[in-house]
Amino acid sequence: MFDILKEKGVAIDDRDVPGGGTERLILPLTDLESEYQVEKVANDVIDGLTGSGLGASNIYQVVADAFAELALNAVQHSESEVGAFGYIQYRESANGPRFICAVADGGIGIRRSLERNPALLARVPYDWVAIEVAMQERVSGTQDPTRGMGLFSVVEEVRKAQRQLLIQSGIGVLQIGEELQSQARRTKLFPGTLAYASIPG
Amino acid sequence: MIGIADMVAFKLLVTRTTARNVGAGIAEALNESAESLALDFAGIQGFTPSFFDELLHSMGELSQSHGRDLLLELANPPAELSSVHEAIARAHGLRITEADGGSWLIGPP
Repeated sequence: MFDILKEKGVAIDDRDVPGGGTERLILPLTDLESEYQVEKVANDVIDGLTGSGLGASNIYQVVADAFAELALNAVQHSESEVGAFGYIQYRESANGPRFICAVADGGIGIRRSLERNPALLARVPYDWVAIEVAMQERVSGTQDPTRGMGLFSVVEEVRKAQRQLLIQSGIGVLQIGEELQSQARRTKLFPGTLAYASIPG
Repeated sequence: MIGIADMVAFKLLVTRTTARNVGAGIAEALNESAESLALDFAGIQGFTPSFFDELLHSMGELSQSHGRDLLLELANPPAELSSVHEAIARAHGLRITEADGGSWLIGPP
């Protein structure tokens, strides 16, 4: 975060803040405005990763796909007045290197988005339930029976060893951990939707 | 064999819009009497599930306009066949298998 602010010309005194050192920004915090832009950004990410030498090259596609699907969901469904933002980071940690993909928006949230589909209205009484429902195959607020594969595909990819996914929307949060357990619960309000995927590099 | 790389601006195919544009390009290139359709993804680095879903949707419309089920072959697929691809095909009433050479064969179950 400090690096981003410095790049934008903000004077930061970070002398007593431990440096990240082992973190690399693959995609700096980026305003995601349209589907076309998401496609362009995803391609830039693949090109950047290919030239980076970071992590295992066979994981680049997984990273780009996960980011693209999360970003498309934000652009297409969030109705966010403040837009949507995303970044990708490579981080060395005690558990080994990981790629972090994060996308956030300030929109209507998953529950209200699914409520656009009358067939789903009774199935999504709470934000945390709505997140669970949204992860299922062919669930979409669009009423189009051919939609609703994006988040499902991210979840399927994350349900592989050592990967993590956290989705917070409204007062609900759902986390799929490294042990593949899935837990949805009530939490503090996030005014929109935040998705965070952690993938071993 | 219809080359996909020549139809698109990117190597990673992400959006449904791109899939629809590819579908329109295929429709133009397809012979009226064709009973099968071979798409070559050489030069493409990957596609998202959303792209693949919309591509099958476009191929379904193409089959309808031809009045018959088109058998679809994807040569040089830029991804490993996964449960997500199988689920997407299933939702379109299709079955997807991998041929010995690595191509994906998509058609009625």
